[in-house]
Amino acid sequence: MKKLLENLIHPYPRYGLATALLESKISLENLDEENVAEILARTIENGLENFRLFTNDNPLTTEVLRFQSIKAEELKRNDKLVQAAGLSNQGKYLAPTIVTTDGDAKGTFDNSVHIVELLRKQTSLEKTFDLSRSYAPTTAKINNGKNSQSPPKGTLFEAACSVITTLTKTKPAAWIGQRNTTVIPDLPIDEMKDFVELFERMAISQLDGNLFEAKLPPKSKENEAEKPETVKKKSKKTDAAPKSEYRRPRIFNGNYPFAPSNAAFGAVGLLAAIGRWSQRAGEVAWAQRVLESIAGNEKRPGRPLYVISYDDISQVQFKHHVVGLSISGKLSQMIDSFVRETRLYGDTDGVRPNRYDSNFKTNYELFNLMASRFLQLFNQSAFQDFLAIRAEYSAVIEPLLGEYFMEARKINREIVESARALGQWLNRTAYLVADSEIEETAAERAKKVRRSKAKILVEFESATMSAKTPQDFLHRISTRAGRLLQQDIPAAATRFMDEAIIGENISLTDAQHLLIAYLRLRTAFEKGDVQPTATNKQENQIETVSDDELGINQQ
Amino acid sequence: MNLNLDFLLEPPDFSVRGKLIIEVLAPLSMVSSMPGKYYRSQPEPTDAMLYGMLENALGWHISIKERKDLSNKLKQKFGELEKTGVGFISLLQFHLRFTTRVLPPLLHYDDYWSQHLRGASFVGGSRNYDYRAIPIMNMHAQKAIPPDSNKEKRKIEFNDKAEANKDPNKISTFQEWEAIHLNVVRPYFPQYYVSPTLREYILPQGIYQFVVEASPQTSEMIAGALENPSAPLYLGSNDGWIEANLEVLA
Repeated sequence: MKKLLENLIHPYPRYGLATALLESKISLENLDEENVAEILARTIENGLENFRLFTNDNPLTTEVLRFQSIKAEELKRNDKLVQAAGLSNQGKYLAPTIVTTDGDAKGTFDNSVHIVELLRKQTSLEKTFDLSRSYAPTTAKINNGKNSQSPPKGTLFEAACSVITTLTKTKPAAWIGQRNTTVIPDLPIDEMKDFVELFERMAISQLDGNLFEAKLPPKSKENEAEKPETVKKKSKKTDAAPKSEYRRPRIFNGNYPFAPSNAAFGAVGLLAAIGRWSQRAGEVAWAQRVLESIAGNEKRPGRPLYVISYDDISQVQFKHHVVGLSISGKLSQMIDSFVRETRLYGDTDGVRPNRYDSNFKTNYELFNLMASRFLQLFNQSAFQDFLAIRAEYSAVIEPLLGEYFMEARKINREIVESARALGQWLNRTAYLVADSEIEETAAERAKKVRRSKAKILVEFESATMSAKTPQDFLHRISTRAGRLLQQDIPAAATRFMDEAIIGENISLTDAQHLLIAYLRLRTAFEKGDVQPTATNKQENQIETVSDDELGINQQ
Repeated sequence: MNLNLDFLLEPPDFSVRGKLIIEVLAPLSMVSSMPGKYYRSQPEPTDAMLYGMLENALGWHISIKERKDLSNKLKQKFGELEKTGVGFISLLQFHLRFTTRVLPPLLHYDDYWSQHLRGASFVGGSRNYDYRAIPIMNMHAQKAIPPDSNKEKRKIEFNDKAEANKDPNKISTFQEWEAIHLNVVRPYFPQYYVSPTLREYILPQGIYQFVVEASPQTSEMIAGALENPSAPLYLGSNDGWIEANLEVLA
């Protein structure tokens, strides 16, 4: 037994073992040759109970579809339910927690059943076993010096634990890029058990609504009346199969509460969701312990998180700053804000930025990717990449910038606050000038104001980034801003400007980054052109304040 | 060359403790389980990898057959031997053991590794081939619509089906829209081709330290070998260069 455990070096089967120990409520010390086979077999069977989802609701008549799992017995009886063409169109979706594809679902199911049989027959766990990609997605057939490909070998124990990981619903998973993707941390077995337990508690907590529901778009009755005319024009399309009326439930976006709405934030989104859940559920100390085991602390670096799907496997390694940001609950809001409220300078159309059909879709995707990498690496080059995409951020991001400059770049708090004052003043200046330039009665006024403001901000940014010395960019900015608004820079900004010129406590690059980052933060001063949506209204700290209330300029 | 391995038949003696210090010169990728699609690296070398490195330093480059004979002798004396996933059996495994380990902080990242493979894909996978194969490869690179169908495909095909043309002169007398057997072009190609595979690498930011227990002679022999290794030392993939030293403690 000891040798088997020692040889379980890959984190993928180790996760399965931790899940088995948790579900059977047994500790690692009490695991021995007598009970281990039964424990593994039972955990695999539990996993098979959540293989495929179905719904009894009819999408043509209701607006909410409620999904349940098909029972494993039915799957064994009718293998057309395991894998067949057209199952997705009937709303019988492969559960997002099963790490396989629609094309190999049968392989996964059959291999799992076969392994359960071997376990129940008391086959030796040390017996060599061929590993298959259908349940061990990091493996594939390889040449290994021979002329033809052969599957890699492991022990039956390794295979059984891998099957558990592939099937269990107690792991973070989402349907990303048409593939079931999961995130597995690389932790020693005790800390792994802790993680699995925390995740189980999180997943059943339902603090984010029922994830097994799908809301369909409302059916409008006018479309029915117009149908006879439109049918003639679209007669060419009748050979295509009718689009399915079924929609996937929310669990496909992430099987845990507060999952990020964009796949680029997958791994960091999971850590953020843990923090936010712990705030709501009152388990902050536990979440902190788990997050520290993954992201490390000042003395110890983080362990890699493996993002695994049937086609793509990669790893992500975090630093300890993520723990603090996540525990406070803010990281989750910031990720939401990055996805929903960031507006590229060039995107002046539309009231809501980052619409799915926007012309700037690729740029927003790139922005999300850079933001996610910045959250992971938290160093100067990642921040530079993040700043490379010119966009305005919502004020929710502010604590992240503060944390980065004060903790990662080790810049004095007063300097940072002074830079913030300057940046925010410039942002407000740009808005006021843009607002005053466009006539009150102009057509598409909001769009024109946005464009005008973006032009001014771009001027400031270019002046900053192209300067070779701090004196250079500060001079250009103060001249330009002064001419625009006929006012002087606020007194609060002097500390930053002095320190930038002296150059001892802050380098040129950091000074440039500081200024640009803060001047992109949308202030609360604007009559917000981003209306907070229903979801983020509760958490959002942006309040749109009118000019009268704010009244005085801070001089 | 004569190698005196009689001391391996003596009973193991762990009286001398030494400190093995490993300084990493290049990123390491130490894979020992579940390979194929993604090669995940261990954060530290396994015992078998360390034994392999020491045998490398000692110059024990013993072929598989001879190794098997020697390991049978050890098996008779000391019991079952550990064999790794790729079939490596270390001869040192009974006489050396690693106890405490100190690991440095690690940076993990993914990178592509040129995996050398053998198989039927040598035509597309090898970059270099004999000059006499250039005309046929030029035609192979072109795609067009053949006269008997309307789907675009390559002007000449290589496969190992029975109907393919096996005439060895076809290398110079080929025509378009033929299917040529692989054995016709095989003499002109290297049989190993390269496929880039995603692999995890680790970059230690510090040194690895292991406490080694062995007999006095073995420790001295290893310390000497590490000072003057007979082959470059590596751990994991064969470009994971390291610098290793053994300090014999009390």
